[in-house]
Amino acid sequence: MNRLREAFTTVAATVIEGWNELRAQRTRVLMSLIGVGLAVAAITGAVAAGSIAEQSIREGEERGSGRAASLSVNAYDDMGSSDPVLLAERLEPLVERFGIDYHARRVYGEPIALESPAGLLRTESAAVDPAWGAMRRIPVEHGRWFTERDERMLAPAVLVDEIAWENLGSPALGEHPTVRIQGERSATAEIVGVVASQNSSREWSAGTVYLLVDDYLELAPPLDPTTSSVETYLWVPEGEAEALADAIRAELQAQYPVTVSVQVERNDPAAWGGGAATGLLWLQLGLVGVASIVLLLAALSLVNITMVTVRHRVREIGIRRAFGATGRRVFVGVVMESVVGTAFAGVIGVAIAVLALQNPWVRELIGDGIVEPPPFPIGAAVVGLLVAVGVGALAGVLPALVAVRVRVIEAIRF
Amino acid sequence: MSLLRLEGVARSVRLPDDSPLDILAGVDLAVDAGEHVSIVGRSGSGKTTLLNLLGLLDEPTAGEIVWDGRALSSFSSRDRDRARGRDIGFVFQQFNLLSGRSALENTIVPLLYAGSDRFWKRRTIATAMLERVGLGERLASTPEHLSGGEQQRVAIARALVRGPKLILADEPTGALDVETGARVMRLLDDVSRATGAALITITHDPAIAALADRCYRLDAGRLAPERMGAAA
Repeated sequence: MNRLREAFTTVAATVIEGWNELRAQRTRVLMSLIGVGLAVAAITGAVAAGSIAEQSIREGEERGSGRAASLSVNAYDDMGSSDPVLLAERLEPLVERFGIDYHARRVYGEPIALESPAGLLRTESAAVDPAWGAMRRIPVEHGRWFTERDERMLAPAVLVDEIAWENLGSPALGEHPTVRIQGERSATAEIVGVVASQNSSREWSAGTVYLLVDDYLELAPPLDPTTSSVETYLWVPEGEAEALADAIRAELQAQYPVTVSVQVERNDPAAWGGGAATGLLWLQLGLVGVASIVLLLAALSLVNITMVTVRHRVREIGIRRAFGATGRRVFVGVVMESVVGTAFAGVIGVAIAVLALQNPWVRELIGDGIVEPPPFPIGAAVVGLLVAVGVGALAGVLPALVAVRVRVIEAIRF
Repeated sequence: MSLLRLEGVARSVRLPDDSPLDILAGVDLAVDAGEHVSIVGRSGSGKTTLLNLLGLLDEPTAGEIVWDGRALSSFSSRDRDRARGRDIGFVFQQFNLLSGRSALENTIVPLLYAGSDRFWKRRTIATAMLERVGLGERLASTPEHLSGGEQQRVAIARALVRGPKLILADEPTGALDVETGARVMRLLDDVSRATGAALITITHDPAIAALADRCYRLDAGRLAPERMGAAA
């Protein structure tokens, strides 16, 4: 117990000694640590920004191709046509049996006409089942996504994208706005939500309207197999994707004649190696590389300044040795000064990176349209602090070696 | 038993042409606990080398130093550092206070290397010692804001704060005017007697040397007793 107390006392005394030394020489230390702090901010910021940008890219890819693991299910005859109603009927019991919670159809159909204050608006249509929103991370900007209750309502519920919403006069969702749909049959639908637009061009697009599949099939003209299709998607655990795909393919195929080919394919970005996020890794590594060079230069500057001031320190070290500091204590003390200083700079650097990445403008720039913003990566902060402490230890070793070679009386009489 | 005993101590160094240079030769000295001894000598007489040896900062090339009943040759480097920190207090000519640090912070320095009890009570112990040397009102003053006499009193407080058995004073009045030097020397003498510490003063000032119980002269590396009246 006593030995533990003595060891703790030695550590505390060394840290206090280092801190006092830094305090006494704050101007010199501050100047030499600016570079370290900025480099740590750059490294931490690059790692954290990379993770946010990666999430943004991944979400974008997942909106297009699905989350890991997404399976598409089709059954085409040898003429290339399919019967989506029959497929849905045959797939339903399989989905229940295999316990697949997320499954949705997506109809790639004809445009839909909406009545707007400016006249008839021909919008793109996206007919989906309620699970589609979660499966594709559809970012709802206002209001809400479809629920299963919407499927039972007499009046159809729709969501519109931002472009269509603006074209409709940006009605307040709190007032339960409605829109008249002109189609094979006309109906009045309630706008329950607004989603971010996937189409950046307002000039060429009047926007997109999201409907539930059954509502769409009722309102829109009959599907033309040459221009329309109904795709069915399943979102399954990544580790079970392959086995489930094989099982569903086999069971469905057994229910169709040989002229119909059942396809169950995985098509999310993770299935083909991570997509654009892989390219980002190289950018991230490049940024970390540049920041590391800055850090190296800052460390060299720290060593340089410490060595230059060693003339001043020789006397002080001599005094400490005369009053009982062992060689080991002097070595650890000088290294600790450097470590305490760079750790302090590291904390400031990490804080700068955190503040910069919390800035809404920066978030908008690197994580545009992100649905699930990742928290500031703790790993990046830990890496930043470890790098700072490591640099401090390395930068402190050379001056510490000089310090332990000091001859006490000569140093004191210096 | 003497606190410190030098028996036939010699110290020589090798010159670049590999020939030996004898700095000290055949030095015998015994200092008892609480005793005051002064050593006078000109520049180049070997005072610094003797100070290194007395302060356990160096080892003799011949002879033996016995510290508190134990031969120095049996000490490891760490043992020497620890014994020095625990049992020896230094007072220097140029005070050697740490600049930018307050009188209290300077006095605390030796307590950073003491055991747990004294480390955690360091502020209380150092404050009491500064009050003892008459600087209770100047705890927060840095050396830049203290007079020469006050700085040397801080140095004395620092030397005594761990309760050493031996105080080594190297030209303690060398940077002070005569009157201040005399006051500082009286203080050093009084405080060391009150704490029971032995005091070895190395000086070239016969008046300072005369304050000691015994006086020695170091000349060309040899130490010889000096009659008090002849210290000059």
